[in-house]
Amino acid sequence: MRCCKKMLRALERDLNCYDRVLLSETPALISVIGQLKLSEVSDEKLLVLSPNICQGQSQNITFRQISREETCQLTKLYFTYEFSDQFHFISRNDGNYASLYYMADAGILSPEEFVAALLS
Amino acid sequence: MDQLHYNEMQQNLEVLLATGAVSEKEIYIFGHCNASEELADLLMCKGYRVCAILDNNPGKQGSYYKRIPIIGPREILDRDMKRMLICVVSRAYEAMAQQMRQMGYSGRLEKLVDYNTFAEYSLAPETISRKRERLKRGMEILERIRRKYNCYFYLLCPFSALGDVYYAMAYLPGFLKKNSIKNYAVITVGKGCSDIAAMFGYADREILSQNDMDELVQAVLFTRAKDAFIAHHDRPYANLLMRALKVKLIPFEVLYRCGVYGLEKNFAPYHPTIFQHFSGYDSMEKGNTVVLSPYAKSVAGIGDQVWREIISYFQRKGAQVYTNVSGEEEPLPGTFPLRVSLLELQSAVEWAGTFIGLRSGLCDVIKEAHCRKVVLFPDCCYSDTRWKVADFFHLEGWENIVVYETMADDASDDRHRNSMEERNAEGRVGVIYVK
Repeated sequence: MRCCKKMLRALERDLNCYDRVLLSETPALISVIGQLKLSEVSDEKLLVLSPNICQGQSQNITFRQISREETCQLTKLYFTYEFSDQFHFISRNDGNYASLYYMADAGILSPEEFVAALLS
Repeated sequence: MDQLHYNEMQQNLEVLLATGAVSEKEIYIFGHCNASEELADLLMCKGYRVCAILDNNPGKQGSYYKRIPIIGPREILDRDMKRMLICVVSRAYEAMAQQMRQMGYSGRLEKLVDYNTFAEYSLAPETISRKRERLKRGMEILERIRRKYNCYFYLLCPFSALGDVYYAMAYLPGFLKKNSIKNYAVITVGKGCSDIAAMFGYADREILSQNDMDELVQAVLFTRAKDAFIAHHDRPYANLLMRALKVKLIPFEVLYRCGVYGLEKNFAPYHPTIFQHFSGYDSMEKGNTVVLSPYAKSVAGIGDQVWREIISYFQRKGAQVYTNVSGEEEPLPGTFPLRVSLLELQSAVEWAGTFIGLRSGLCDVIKEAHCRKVVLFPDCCYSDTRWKVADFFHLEGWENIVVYETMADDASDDRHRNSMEERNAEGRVGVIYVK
């Protein structure tokens, strides 16, 4: 796995500029975040990266489309070590560890509570 | 804190003391937890004063540990930072260090225990290179496990905590059935956790060191291994389940049932079936013995005075009093040591008749024992959540008692007392006030 310097520099800039950076492959989740009244949940500046979205800004959320290659590189880096507590990869594909999604599936968290927890 | 980490903390502290880094400094500890209390005790034992324990949790701020105030980190920023030393014994060291620097803290910050080998908040090439080497070692461990248990599924319990492993085992059958898994091996850290798995009848077990387990977990994450699962409520870092506690109180057991394994809300747990008979029958009086368990990793301790009062109370009633100990733990003064394996413990406490323990994984190990069972909770919140440990770790079928310790001159006493009496009126927990 090789991370290009340009990508790493961009990542460092994003971590400095935003309170939270979410990388997601899940269109449904991105849609929920986009519809959310984020100001009711968080006053943080949020950057959402995904190959499945259109660029844009909504309240204090910035949506940025990245390529599948960049998504792959970032995902690999994410799973190599914890380089920041501001960056998270969110996927609905059942992984090999516990999931906040399961709490929503079991009815323990409502959809709104799920997103509030995710962005907490 | 387990013995290995305690020794590491002691050694690192000695190095710090020897280099003069501590002399004439205002000492702070970041993060209130059982480990930071042990560090505070160690420092005080050596004649040093801890000015304050810093904690981001508003629920903890304003309280005290042995007259050491617990305050928010921002409160120290207007002081002379050159004279400050902040010690960290929490696994969130990287996040804490980053937070303090971002707040403008320019004093010295020391990590005394390396709990978290996953994290290093840097994108420098040498960091990435080092972490890739670590990942490579993890992949070698994974391959070794696959060779030994060919075509098995691997269930990883990534942290050496008895209670965590207990619930991971209790709901494992549901997970295995849901995923149609027939052959599997349970991989734990340390023999104690492996014994928990043995109690549930899981025959194929592997024990790793914490470091090897961390590297294996990293390899499983990176390769998104389809033949492995990491059964824990807050490890590794990719697991965001604990965020659910930011919005709602969810009991510990439910986190495992639903959040870790994805089972339904009302799925019933399995119970351990393999026990050993207690071999100390001839030395312990049946039904008139109290077994105390004062040690825990995940919750802060309660004061010696409480235990002295408990011991004295039962001894006046003519009961024998034992302290359950393992490793280098010492029995409480005036009590006999009880050294039994985990598989024997349920049998031992049932013979004794009464078990009184600080909330720990040991309480989960014997949660179905047929005897009087009392669990004691310190009056504090769980981790960085706003939920009291008594609510998060509540045990059904036990007497759940919160021990509220105050100082004689504590002005907030009445406020806390009213809150405790409201909880008591709900019939949920008992309360002990200790001055």
